[in-house]
Amino acid sequence: MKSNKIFIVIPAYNEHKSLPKVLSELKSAGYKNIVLVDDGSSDDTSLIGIKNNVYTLRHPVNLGQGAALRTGILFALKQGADIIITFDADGQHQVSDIKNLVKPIIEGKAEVVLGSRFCKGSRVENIPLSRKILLKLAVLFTRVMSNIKVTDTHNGLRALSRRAAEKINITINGMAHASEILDEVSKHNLSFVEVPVTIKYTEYSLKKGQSKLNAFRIAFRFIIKKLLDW
Amino acid sequence: MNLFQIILIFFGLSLMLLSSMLYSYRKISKGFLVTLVFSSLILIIVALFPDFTFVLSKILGVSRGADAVVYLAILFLFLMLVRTNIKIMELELKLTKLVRNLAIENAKFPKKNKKRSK
Repeated sequence: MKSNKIFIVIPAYNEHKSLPKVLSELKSAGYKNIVLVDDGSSDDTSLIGIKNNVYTLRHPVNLGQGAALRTGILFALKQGADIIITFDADGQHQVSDIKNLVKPIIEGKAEVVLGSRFCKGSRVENIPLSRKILLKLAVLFTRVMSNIKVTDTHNGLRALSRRAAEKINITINGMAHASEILDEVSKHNLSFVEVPVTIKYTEYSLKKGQSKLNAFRIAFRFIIKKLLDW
Repeated sequence: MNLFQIILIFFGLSLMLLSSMLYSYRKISKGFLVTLVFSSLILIIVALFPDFTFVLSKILGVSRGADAVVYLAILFLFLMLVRTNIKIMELELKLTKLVRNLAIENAKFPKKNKKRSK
């Protein structure tokens, strides 16, 4: 069987505290094709990438996570990636979950594999109730807007086959890209599965995460995008 | 002629001058120039002949002429707001492309070692 070239894309903005651990865990697990996209950080995020000997790209200005992901995905495709994993830099994702994400693509069962916090077998540690409610509302919102049935819409841990990565066009720079990715999956009829993953919320990742008010901004931004595409 | 009429005429003439200057420097499109000049003319006509607002109010089905002007102004401002937002989005798209190309062109590659990777 042909060996698949797996690329891990990590968008990062001012993540110097958590990034060294994330990179060292990925490298210890044997993943060598790691693409760090520093989204205009004011700290030494880029330097950490260079020191850790991974592909390091830097946006001269901060654009948003969606833009950083798209940059990383395009770069990975240029390097000949067969499978692309998107992985958060704040340390809430587990390296051990990657093999479960990759499996359905290798077996030809799906082109997009979405990590889920809420499907059977998943584990979420220290999730605040307010965040849980917001995430559930996001699931409903996505079902209505994109006609796609998933249990977790805003999980940054996902795997894309090369074909899926080529098809999915992320145009929203900010956090609404997560809804846009699902919308693209639905639009291009890409086969997808959800796999359970473990998410560990820490004080740091919660601080770095989205505010409750921003959730409404994300929804509004996505609605505008849908209207403009219409 | 009262002070308010003078201010309106001055504002209308300034808008007309500004829009023709912007057009000559190719900062705005022909369509936008026509919209701005047309709006300036309406403004000047309303200032010179306040009774004109009654014509407007009859066309729009609004009881008072002054109300019709306010409604039209709000509508105009709303359209301008939408237009500005679309312009900002277009600029954002251009900036994103530029930044992305720069990032990919200047990517730092890892130093090669002989270990096998996944």
